[in-house]
Amino acid sequence: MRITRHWYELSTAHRDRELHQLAVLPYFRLDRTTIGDDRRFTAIGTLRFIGRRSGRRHGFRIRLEYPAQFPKKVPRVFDHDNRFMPTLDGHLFSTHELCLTLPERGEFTMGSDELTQEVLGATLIWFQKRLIFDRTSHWPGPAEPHGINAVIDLLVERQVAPDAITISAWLLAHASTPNGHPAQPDLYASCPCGSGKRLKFCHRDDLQLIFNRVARFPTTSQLMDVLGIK
Amino acid sequence: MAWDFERSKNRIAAERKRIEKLGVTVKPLTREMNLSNLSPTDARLVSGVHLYADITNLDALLQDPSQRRDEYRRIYRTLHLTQRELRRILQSLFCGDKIQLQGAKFHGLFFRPYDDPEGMAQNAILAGLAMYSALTEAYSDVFDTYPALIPAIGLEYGDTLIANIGIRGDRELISVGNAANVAAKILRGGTEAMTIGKNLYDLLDDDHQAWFIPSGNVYRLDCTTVEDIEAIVRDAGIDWSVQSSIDKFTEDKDNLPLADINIEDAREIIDITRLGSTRAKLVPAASIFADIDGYTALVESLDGDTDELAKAVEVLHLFRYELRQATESDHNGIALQHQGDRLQTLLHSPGDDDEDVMEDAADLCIAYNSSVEEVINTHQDILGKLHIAIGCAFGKTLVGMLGVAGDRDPVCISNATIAAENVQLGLHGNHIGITKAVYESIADESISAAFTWNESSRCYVSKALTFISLEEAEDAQEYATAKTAAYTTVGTISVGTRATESVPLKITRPYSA
Repeated sequence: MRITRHWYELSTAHRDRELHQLAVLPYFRLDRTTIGDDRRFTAIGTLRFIGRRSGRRHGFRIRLEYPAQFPKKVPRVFDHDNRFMPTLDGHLFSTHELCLTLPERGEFTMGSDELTQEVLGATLIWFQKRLIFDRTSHWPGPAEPHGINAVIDLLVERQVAPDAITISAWLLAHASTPNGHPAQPDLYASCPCGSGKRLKFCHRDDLQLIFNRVARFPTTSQLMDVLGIK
Repeated sequence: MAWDFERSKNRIAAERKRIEKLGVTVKPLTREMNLSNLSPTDARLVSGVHLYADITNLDALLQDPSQRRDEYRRIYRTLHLTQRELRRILQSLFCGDKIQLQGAKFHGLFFRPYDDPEGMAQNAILAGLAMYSALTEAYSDVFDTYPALIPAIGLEYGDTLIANIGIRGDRELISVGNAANVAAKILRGGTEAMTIGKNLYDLLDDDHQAWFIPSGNVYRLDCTTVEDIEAIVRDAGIDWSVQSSIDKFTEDKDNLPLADINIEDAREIIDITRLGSTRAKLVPAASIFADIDGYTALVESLDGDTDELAKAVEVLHLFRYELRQATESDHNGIALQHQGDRLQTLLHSPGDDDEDVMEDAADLCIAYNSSVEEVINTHQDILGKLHIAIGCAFGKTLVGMLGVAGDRDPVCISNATIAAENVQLGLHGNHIGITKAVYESIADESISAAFTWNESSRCYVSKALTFISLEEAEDAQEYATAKTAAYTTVGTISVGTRATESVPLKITRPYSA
């Protein structure tokens, strides 16, 4: 079996550059890095900022888990001390991983040397917003809807369809087998954007984002529940 | 300097450690003890009758042209004379003890004869009548050209915690308990000048009970209907007469000619220990009252358990210490007087505009609430969460110090003081109330946006306002539309604007699977 080599094994210079990046960010104090039994590179450290009016010093200990393909894939960020309660509206998975961004939205610059800085900056913002959320029970600023609906909203933003209902109805009609299981749609079906073109020649790439999500549902009825279709 | 979370947290932690090391003890007051030589960590549980004697028309006196002139010298002397006479009646004639002079309010306590509540009750009623006569008949006799005083006497019996917090070297007694609260709150001027609580009423014999008319939960007495107060007091074996009060007022008046009273403005922050009966200050200042809501109820709920009461005293000391530090260290204000579980503060700044003082006062109010809500309640929870109600007003204020050597009280008199107290009394904990003038002086839009007009309290009120909630509300508002954020060189996060020499931060749209 072919063993995947991790990013830090491929280039010592890359590893050193990454360690330097972690060490110089003013809002992050690196405590330690480790390489686990699974050869995953992990960095543990504390994000910090000071309250503008209160002078309160906030600190948040996080764990960055680097994927083997870093920086082509984004490091995952965890609440290392389980400080916050995992909730959907609080954007924290039950594994204590932070829901920083909808991956399909592509907010981080993959392959960039600044990827870690982007992730840590976003994590610092997440931390500040989470403190506000814990006080007000309301997430400040825009946030994605939960689950597959986030991808549907993204497709609407990209004008794949005029609204979420159109996409949901289209998925139901074209991405489901007769025996009630989600399936890849016919590439020659008409595109939901209303152009009259076949999917293959229109928004195929955009819709591929949602097909990947649809495939995770065991039955169409469960998908319908999530989409709010009766 | 301004309030700072870390500084507040550190000093509260240090003070708690210090108090715990010293060890607070609470003991019931017994025959062998008195209220002298109490230390801050040595409190007494005292059964007795609390008396408040107030001049209810003080606000009218402050407006009276004859009293206003010469920088309020006459009012200042009136307070000096009346507190001396009330003290004489209480201490020398009725064996009571003075707790505090709170502006025009005189607070006394009767705890003798020991273990004889009925005797205390009768004693207190007679003392109240004598005080009423002194403040009306005797005073008007001596000062026949002055507006008459309209006194109100409030009395109630019960157990209260008494502690000496003597920070400035003077004896500074504070009392906490329902009896003191009731006595202070049932005051009503006019003809029904004496009001007593139910506990005290129940201790009176039938003859004395017959004097009082029930009015809700309290009992009121029209003192003008009591025939020959002098004779009643004399029959009880007390050597007091209206003439003796007239003589005392006259003697004290002669000893303190108006010309000897030096009332001046302030060129620097007032050092109240240097004030006295002949020296006072008249300054534009913000008055603030910060009261621990529910503390009296907490003390009552402990039902005399001295161990738990000791913890309650610790809590009081923590609040007292921190509010004082926030006032004096963070805002260069004057923590004027601890009145039970309440702090009276004065903020003035010679040379500064009134608007600046008012804005600073609003900041101090937020600082108080921040210390309590963000630090004490979050990090030093001893007997559950407690909140403070804060009232603030601004105006020209007479500041002095009255009493006898070793037992003087700061005195602060103005319409602003009265207004600030009334605002505070109308609020619940975790609320800040400020008058219209203070509100309009606030230049910081985020702070003024946190206040809304409250018609019933006739002031602007904010709820749960702290510096942390304030900055979070600001950031939440910015995040609604912000596309950029940055980490600044001083370690703060700047949202919506990109400061120079700062590190950009990425704002993402968080997601939930």
